[in-house]
Amino acid sequence: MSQNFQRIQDSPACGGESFPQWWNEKREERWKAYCSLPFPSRKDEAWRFAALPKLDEKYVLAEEVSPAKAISMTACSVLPFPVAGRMVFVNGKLERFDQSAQGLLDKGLIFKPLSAMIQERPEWVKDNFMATPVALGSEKWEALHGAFTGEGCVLDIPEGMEVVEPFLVFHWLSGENASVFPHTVARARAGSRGLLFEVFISQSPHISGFACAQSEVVADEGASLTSLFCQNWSDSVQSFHMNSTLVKKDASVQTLAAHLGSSYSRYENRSRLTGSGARSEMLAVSMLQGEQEFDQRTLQDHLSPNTWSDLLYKNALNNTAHSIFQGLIRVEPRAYGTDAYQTNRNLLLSGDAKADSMPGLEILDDDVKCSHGATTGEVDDELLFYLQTRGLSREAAKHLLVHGFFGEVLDRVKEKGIADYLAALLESKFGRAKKKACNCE
Amino acid sequence: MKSEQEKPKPELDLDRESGNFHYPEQHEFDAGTGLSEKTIDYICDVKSDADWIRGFRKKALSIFQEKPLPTHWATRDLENVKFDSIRYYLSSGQTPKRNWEDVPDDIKRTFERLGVPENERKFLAGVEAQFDSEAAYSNIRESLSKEGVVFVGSTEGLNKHPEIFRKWFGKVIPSGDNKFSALNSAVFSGGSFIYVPPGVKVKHPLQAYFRINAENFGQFERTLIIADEGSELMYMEGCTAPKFESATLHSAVVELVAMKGAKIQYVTVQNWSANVFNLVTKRALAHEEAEVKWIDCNIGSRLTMKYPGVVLKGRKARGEVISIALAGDGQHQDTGAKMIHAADETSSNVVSKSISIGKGRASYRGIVSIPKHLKGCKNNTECDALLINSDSRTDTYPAIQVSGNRNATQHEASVSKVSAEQIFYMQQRGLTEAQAMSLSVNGFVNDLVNQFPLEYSVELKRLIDLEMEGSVG
Repeated sequence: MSQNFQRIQDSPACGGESFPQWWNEKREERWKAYCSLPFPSRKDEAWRFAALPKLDEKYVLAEEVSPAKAISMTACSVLPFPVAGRMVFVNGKLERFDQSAQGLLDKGLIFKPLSAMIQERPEWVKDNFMATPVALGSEKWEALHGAFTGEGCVLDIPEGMEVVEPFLVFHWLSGENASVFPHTVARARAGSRGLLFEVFISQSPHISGFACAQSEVVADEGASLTSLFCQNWSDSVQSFHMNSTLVKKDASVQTLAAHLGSSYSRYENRSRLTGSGARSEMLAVSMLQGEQEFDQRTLQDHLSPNTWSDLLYKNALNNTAHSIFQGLIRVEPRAYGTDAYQTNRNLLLSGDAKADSMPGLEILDDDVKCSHGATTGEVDDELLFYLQTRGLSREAAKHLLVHGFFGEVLDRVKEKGIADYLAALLESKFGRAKKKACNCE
Repeated sequence: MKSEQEKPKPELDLDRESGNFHYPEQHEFDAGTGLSEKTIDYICDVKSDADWIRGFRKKALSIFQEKPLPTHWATRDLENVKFDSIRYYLSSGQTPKRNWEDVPDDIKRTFERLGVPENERKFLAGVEAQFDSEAAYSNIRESLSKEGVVFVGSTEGLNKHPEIFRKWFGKVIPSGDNKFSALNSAVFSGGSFIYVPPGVKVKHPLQAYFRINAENFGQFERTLIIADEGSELMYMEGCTAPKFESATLHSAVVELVAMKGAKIQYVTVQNWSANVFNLVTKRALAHEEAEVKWIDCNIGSRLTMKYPGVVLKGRKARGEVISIALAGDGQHQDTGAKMIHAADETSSNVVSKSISIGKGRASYRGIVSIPKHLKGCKNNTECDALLINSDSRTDTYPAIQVSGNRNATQHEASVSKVSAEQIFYMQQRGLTEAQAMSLSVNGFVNDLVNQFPLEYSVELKRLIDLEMEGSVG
């Protein structure tokens, strides 16, 4: 299996002189780890029910695009609300950087591309980069990511600073068989507050590619951090996304992942609650159609007393799409006073779609309140009927119910501009799927 | 009513201590320690097995030897089963007695102490009592055998009624289903073979009682129950063993076949001593409009791994698993359910409640599968766990696969401890903390305990009280 990505490893664009030696050494270590780690097998619990990813050798490291293309993509990287800073990456290269207000930077705010941090703040990178492994089955791909990434977004909000406007990052993928390895570190220091929104998007809707991303979200004591992202790669991209969240004493983190694109996509999300009073809210919505396969694995790891976590993952599936949810709430010994919830809801919009759900609990302390629920079913006939009696067509009623299905999750996002943006994306994808279905009939 | 509640009569004695006695071994037949082709030949010769059974056993042995332990998902405690130091066949003769008078004294005393003959007189339609590898006693009410009900041991069933049993034997659970079903298929002995003819409704339960008396022994009973069209049957099994120093293995295979419109209820009260590895495969095949209900209570054993399943093969078939598990110190109750939907409009229900005490660990593992071509299938699963002490552990690992039209599943699980407010309330009404705890725990499982036959439910409550003793304060 190690010959996969060998070409990228050998390409001069990977690593090289633009990076310091310590970085290249680390990179080499991770490449070796990738080569030696076994490919998951069918018997692996972390890969149960999954179609093991097929990796072929066609992928190449994404190349720099022409200035004209870069400009057009940058022009599309705008959202209708004010932001605290913006980065636009195209094929892993920073094409546009809107700095944050000087006043904030003077107070110690870091909002910088990772490549610059490697050069200017090696100590910071050594402390914070890949400091919290996700390891929910994709260790091999985590190592691969570590070997090839060199660019991404770093956000470090200093103690006590409250940034109201969101930080916005776009990651574009362009070109046949191109691969990208975006990395994100978002850290909120004690008592600070902030929000990061990332969009992963392909330049054209059907072009093949490979994406292997990792995000690290850290909230120090009393901090409040929100990290939202939208995965909207083309429908021929293979995507891995590993997310780790570390929540310390009295801190709270909200993560939300919206999944729309990719033919095959695996999302791992691990939340570690290490200080008492820590709160972690883990949200996800996905709208799948065609032959999309979406594999999500989560862990709510309660390591300290009196922590709270709440997970809500919703998948709507059309055509022959397939979703897998495997989640675990783990309460360690002496993590008393844990309050943890886990909910997975799957809405089957077609008789050929398939949803596998494996909600799990491992509870090693007695003073806890934990529950999980998983449901899979179709749109409720009675609700459809009711809406029809109010004058809606069956299709419009179904549309509205799907909207409401996602609404329960999106309503929890405090930044309304982002919730609306995601709702519109989900809506348009469902609309497209519906038209497709109509054409077939 | 009141006097009965105050002095629950030990009708079916499930008290762990009262099963903790054993008599010296006097075995006429002993296959020796360890497992090889020779062991199989010995068993076949002693039982005068037909050639096809000998072949079946040997094939299963090779499957058992090839299959690895399922430790990629199961507990590593399985590695402590020492297959080489177990005795695979021990008996004092292959023909069970029809009359208690004829049963050897020690064995008779064993079952009398466990209350089996008394219960037979009182409310059972038939009884089989297995002592180590073979049934010591087997009897069925005359009226039932006149109606054509067959209730015999596995050897007798295969030898005397091959036309009924061979068709389904090893079909619901093939030898290769898992390592332990292969082991059972290789060395099975004892268990019940039951056939209920079309339309016959057996009013009283049939009971089997499994007893391990010997140390370093493996009990491998094999049960096959066929309920023909429109028939009904309730089967109950109880299990005990004395406490030995070394581990004992119990690995049964139970196959149920419910033909069109038939109903089977299978009740288990497992109270093995805390050194028994209880690794059991149980599965039912439900044809059109048939109903199969597993009522399963696990209190004893060191490690139990048991996931009763129903393959819902016919339209509108229904499967149910009701499960209570009590995991005390040093115990791991790894139980659950499998619902395999294979026809339209089938429905299934799983309700599981577990209690972990001290360092006990209770796990729920389940699978619900509704494939693409099916319509109108439903599953409901509820798992609740109660934790008593801070060292107690509970896990839930369900897997739900759904596709197709108008299918719906819902799964819910919750974990909690006994509410401090409840305990406080009961204490201020004059109960001691231990009494309050006991009441609360009994309340937790009450709705499930009530689904057991009355004789069992009274005892279950008492047993839960016993287990709770000393766990508070």
